[in-house]
Amino acid sequence: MTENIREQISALLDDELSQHEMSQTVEQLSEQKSLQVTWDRYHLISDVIRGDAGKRTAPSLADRVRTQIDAEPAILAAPKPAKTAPVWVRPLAGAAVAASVAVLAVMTAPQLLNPEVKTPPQMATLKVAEPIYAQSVSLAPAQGYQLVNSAQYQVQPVMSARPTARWFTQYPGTRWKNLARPATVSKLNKYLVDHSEYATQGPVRGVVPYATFVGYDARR
Amino acid sequence: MRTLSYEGTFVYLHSTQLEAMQITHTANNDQEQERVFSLNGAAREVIRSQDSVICVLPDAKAVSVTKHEAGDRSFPVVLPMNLSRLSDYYEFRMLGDARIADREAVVIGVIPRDAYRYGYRLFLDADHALPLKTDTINEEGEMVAQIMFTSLRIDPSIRSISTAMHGKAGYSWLHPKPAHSIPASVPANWQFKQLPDGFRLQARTRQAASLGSQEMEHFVFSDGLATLSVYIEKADDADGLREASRMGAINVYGVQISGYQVTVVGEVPAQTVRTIANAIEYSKAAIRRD
Repeated sequence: MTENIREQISALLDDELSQHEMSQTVEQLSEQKSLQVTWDRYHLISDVIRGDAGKRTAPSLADRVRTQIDAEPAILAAPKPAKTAPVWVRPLAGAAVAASVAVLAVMTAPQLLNPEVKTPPQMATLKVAEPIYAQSVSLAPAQGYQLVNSAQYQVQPVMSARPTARWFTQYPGTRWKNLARPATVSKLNKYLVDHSEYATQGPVRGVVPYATFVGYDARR
Repeated sequence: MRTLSYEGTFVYLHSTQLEAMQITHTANNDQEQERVFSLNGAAREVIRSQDSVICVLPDAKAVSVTKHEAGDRSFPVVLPMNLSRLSDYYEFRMLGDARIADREAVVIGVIPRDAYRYGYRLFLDADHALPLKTDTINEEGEMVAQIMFTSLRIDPSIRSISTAMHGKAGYSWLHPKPAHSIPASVPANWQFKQLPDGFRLQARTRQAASLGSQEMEHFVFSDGLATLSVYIEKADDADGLREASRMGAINVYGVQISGYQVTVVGEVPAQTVRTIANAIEYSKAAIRRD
């Protein structure tokens, strides 16, 4: 297979091909078995990068992802998101890498929790996922884990802290932070509504200020 | 987007709080109307039309109707996007394509050049440029708010906005006095030193004292994208905010200056409202012309 065709498959996945190129590549794909495998592989990588891989429920997926990790170390070697300011402006790359790490961790963690594979050699290649691995092995095998904070794309063991009733009864609501005085709160709300009239223009602001107000939780 | 008629449902995530709302926007013969209605919690709604803003607050059993002066609009201060001015403070970048609410979207990054304003990631409808999703990102690179349509119907045949006013007979109807804009030629009693780069005075209004509220002066500043308001009224020891607070992406900061309560409100970082609050000076030299 030529490097060119590989590139075209990759471009096809990223919707970068022109109509003509696309039909050409699809035609080649349907003709050649080896190309189909490549397509499959790229598609999987692409899914993982976009964080969609969880949707696929093929039983061999974890294995396939592990294979891909060996085959495509670049996915994991990419920098982590946040902290440095400009990362968020590359969401389709930056956030996606983080998502892929999370997805990988979710999918590989069951193996880690299995006593037989306490120190799986193949995991040594999982550079970025190492801290997750460390967290996970500290758990008893039967205990679960889950994606707790998807915004941070971090996998945390749920059972590391016992859930308390306080977590569930302490409903945050939508309100001003650190403010208890009703009169001050009502004054701020008045300002917010008034301000909203000036701030609802333009592509960025849209309905947000009103939405803040409409959704405002009066409970104190 | 202002000339579009559409209705849809969107979710709004700020900090860790998730809200769902319904929006109907009509634009017929240059007459715009918009209703934003909360789908959970208190069934609050805000209905904006050309000459009024109506807030229905079932939790407070109140309806507030603000009429606007002739010539004033309740879609005020229409700022044309001045890209060349904006590009002094923001960098614009195409980030690619996406799919939101089953619609094709173009992703644009609006990257602030300093820490006095938020950044935005806009997912604009590929056909109508309506923002299908907006991520608001603070100076630390964290998302402070996300708003996203989950369903959207763009349809010119959406004609009217209905609201359920029945069962609201017992509500108190509030009619706050309208604010009057003050021409720029009238000197202000307040001076603003050292505004963050790019923020300029966009509007200035004065609201006469009415039952339960004092005379209030209002300054609107904008850098072309971000907008913040400064409210100044006689200090009331009980109610004035004398600290920082926030709700989602909205920050406020209050101070007392020369016997006046100054409150700065805006969808800008905390340090921006603080900087502006601290830059305000009462100017005794100015002559009051009421």
